[in-house]
Amino acid sequence: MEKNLKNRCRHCLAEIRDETAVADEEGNLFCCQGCLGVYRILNSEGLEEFYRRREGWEPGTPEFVSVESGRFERLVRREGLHSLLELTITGIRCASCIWLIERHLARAEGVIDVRVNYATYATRVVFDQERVTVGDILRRISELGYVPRPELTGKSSGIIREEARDLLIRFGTGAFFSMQIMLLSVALYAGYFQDITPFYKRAFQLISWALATPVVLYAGYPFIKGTVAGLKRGFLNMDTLITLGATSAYLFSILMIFRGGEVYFDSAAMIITIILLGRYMETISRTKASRVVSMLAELAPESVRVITPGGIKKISVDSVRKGDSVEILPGERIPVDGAVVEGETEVDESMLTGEAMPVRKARGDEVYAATINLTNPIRVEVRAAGDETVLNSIIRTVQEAQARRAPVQRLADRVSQYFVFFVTAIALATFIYWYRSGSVEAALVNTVSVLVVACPCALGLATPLAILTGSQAASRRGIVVKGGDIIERLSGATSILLDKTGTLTRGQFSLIETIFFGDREKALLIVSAMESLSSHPVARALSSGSNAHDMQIREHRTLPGRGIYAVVNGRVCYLGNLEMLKETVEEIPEGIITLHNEMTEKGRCLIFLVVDGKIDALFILSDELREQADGLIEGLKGMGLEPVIVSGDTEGVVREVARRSGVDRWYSSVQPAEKAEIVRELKKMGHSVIMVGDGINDAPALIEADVGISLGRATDIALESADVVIIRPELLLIRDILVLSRKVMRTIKQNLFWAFSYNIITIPLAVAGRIHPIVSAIFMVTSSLVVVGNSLRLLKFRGI
Amino acid sequence: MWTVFLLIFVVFILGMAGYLVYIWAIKSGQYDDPEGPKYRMLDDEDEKG
Repeated sequence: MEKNLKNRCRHCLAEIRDETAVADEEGNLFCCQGCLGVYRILNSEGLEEFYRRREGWEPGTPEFVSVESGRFERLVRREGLHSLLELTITGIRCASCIWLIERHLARAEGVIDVRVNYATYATRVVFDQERVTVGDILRRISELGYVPRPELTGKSSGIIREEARDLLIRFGTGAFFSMQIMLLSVALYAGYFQDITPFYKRAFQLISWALATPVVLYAGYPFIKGTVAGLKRGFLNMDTLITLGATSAYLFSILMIFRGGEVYFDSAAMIITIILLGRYMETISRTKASRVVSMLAELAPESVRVITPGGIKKISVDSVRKGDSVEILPGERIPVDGAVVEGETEVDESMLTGEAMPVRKARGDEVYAATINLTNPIRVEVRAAGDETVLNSIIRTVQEAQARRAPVQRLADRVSQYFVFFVTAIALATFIYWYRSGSVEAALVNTVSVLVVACPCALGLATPLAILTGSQAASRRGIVVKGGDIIERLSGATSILLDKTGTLTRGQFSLIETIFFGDREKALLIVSAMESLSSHPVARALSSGSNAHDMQIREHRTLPGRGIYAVVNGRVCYLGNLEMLKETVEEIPEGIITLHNEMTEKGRCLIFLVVDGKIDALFILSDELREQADGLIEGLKGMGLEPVIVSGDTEGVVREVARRSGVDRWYSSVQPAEKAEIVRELKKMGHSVIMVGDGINDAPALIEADVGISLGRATDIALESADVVIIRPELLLIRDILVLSRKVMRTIKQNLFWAFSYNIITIPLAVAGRIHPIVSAIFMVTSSLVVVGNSLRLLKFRGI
Repeated sequence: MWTVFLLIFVVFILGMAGYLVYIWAIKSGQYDDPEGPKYRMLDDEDEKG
């Protein structure tokens, strides 16, 4: 027993547990069949070098899954003469894993080229569809203990990559030509003070013009496009301001060449270049976020086993019809809505109802798609499949809400909008003033120079930089923010709705108290032996860590809704709830019934161990609050947010959780659709609402809320609906992201202040006709530097 | 007098060369995976391209 603990799996280095351990011919021990498989593959292909080179490999049994190729086959594209499959691989723990995957895949017949991105784990497989199938490729990945995943987001990684490349090329073009212009500008500035000859001045200006043209027209094209699109819909935004500034600087400078004045080509080019840099930073942070989210997604079943007269047949979920009978094994996700026709089991419906306790299902009971069958195989008659399931109606609600959701105008855009008005008004006033005083030319020159200096270069950096550094600080703590505007909305929230199961509580039962009536040691041994027979959440909670290797189990059976039965070391043992107790023990003491009722009221559950007809031990289990729950609530209240609990659970349970975590307002027995309703009501009352949840039933509310946050291992739909995904299930991270978002907003406001302070100084000069390009250049650079420095301070955020 | 313009031209050409290399680098995907090269350079065997 003792020596087994020291042994580690030859492949994954996990500690070996006797029940699943296997050994090969040479006596190497493995934690499971899967790891032995990997070891054999590596040896037969001469890749055992992997074991020598892997560094930073974290011990732990890999996930061996069988992946259906359906979802992936739709992703295959033509690439030249071959086919291209783009996917993401998870389960990668070290750089050598990538080496291994690439080698192993490349050795498959028909695979032409494999490339795994070391930074994102995005994988490109070029292959010949005649010689190898998508299924083979996926199997070769999964048999090594890695999980191939399709991209969850609508855009394929190819399109995202093209967008990023396009921005980089435009930025590079802008940067290159701006640098050339700068050389000439320095000469012109110096010439202004040291009397440059008109010939050189004219020549340098002409060259600057030639260099600035590609910057404005090519690099600046996205802004021009954005302005045109905005104007068509009657919007003024940041693009408008940038285009206005850059093009007026450009056109004005051309005019000035022929009038012998000063030129602003450098300003025009720098504005565009620096703002492109801001855009590029925004794109990469968004891409990273969507990739992380798709890695968290679960792989839903795509096929079902249908019972036909000719035996059991595997068909795709799409082709199941009403009235078909399907078989669902323990541990599987139920793919359809229907009624149980054969078998008796327990089903985990927490993702749909929010209730942590598994529900017993017997003949005639309804089961729903996306719930998990826990204990026994069942057969289900299909009542609804595909689009008609309860799951799908929730997804539809989510999609409708998503489409309805109005885009939020960002602070920078809002400010720019007023600013454009302001600038145009001043420009107009300038024109009128100078026109009245007699000179049309002076009027024109000064009006345009107002427009030129009004465009703050730093404005383009103010928001993206703060958001980029802010989301970087967040992602270091395991928080993924899906877009810049979300940080703005987070900072303005006034009330926060928290789901109970899986968010405030762990979403699974844990042991809080044990009472022994007999021999303590023996009882624990029996329980851990019996617990290993079941994957039921209650059984997992009882896994006490004591070792039960010398216990012998003869015959065992699950009693759905009641517990398990087994013969351990020749003694008849039952482990289960009160129902089970009533069936196995003749006389139940009154005290036990009272205790049971008391505990049930609080949402706890009692499990009894009966050995040879006598109660031997009693376990009290509870879906416990996460450790940081009260810390979170306190923090939220301190920030002026009102925490509210919403749960599908019964009143007694929710009241208990609310009391212990210190929340004053709670809603119980809430149906999924009602959660979204509560959010809407709060919004109507003028609240800005954050919703935190993880289940399918939370998804409509996550979308409806101003910001949706999903915590820990959430369901696919919750991940997709949420704006913020917190990867680690730590409640205090919710407080952290709120604090961080407020910091980011403060930084953005400071940045905008600095960006505009440049205008406050330069616009009066321009109105007075006393501005010189060198003055505007110096102010532009200073305000940009201030903004950059100020934003970088956010990187220091390490939580509270 | 023309040396000034010659120098401007030379600087432009030099810069242009760098610019073209940059464009080529982006297009051939060298900015897509900033992590990979430090590991790949240590692999001697490189089968099937």
